Amino acid sequence: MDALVANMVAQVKKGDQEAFEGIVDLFKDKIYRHCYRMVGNGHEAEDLAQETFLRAYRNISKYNNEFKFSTWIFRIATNLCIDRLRKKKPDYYLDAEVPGTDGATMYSQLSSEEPLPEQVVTENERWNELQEEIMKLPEKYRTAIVLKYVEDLSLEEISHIMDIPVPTVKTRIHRGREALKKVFQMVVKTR
Amino acid sequence: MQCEDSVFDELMNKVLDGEATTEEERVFHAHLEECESCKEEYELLLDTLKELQLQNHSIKAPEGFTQAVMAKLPKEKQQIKWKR
Repeated sequence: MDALVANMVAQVKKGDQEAFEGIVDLFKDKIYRHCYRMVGNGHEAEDLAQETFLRAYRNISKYNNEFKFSTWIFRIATNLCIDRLRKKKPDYYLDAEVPGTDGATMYSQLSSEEPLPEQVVTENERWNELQEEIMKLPEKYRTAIVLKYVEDLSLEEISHIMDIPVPTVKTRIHRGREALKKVFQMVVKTR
Repeated sequence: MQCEDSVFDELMNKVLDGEATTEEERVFHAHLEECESCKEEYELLLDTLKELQLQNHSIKAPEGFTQAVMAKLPKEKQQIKWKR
């Protein structure tokens, strides 16, 4: 697989645009999934994943074989996602008054949307719940957790992608797990 | 709720990282038999991570993703090919 990718990259470097199609096909699901886990929204994930490939294409001449190609492209995706998260301002604040509701806040609006107890929890809801918990993790812990547990990458690879030493990667995975555990305990208790 | 003995916290991380020795594994699992809160924590975490991995195969790039990327690539290179 690595040899196949190296061959495609060499073709793209020579100007063969069609060879890039193979690269996109090979990595699109991984990159999309990574972006989805990072930003928690399908439309944005699609946008970021596309941007990742466009950027990889434009910068392909800068790719040297120092890292695996997958490490390089994950690094582009991660940086784009983090940039997006930092730029993003919340669309609304939960304690802001909702106009025309005489003092109702977003909090009270939210509580009225809670699922009824008799509602069956579907696959999709469980998925959303987990994604919501991931979104609560601070971005540096989230990145480490997603790379480790969603993409199953080695500490070494994560270290290259996040540009931090391996021991720091470990600490972030530990803290990330700790945080994930805490939010989940709260979810379990409120059930 | 956390076990007062933070040694087990560290041990739990080692076990989860797959870096615990056989002896450490044994000590940790023996502790779980005695400590309800550690056991709950450990199982919750394992379930969460398992769930995260189980969901993975259903998250896929949308239809037409590759075509959309290819359509956005700079055109110069295509012209070179065309002239060939």
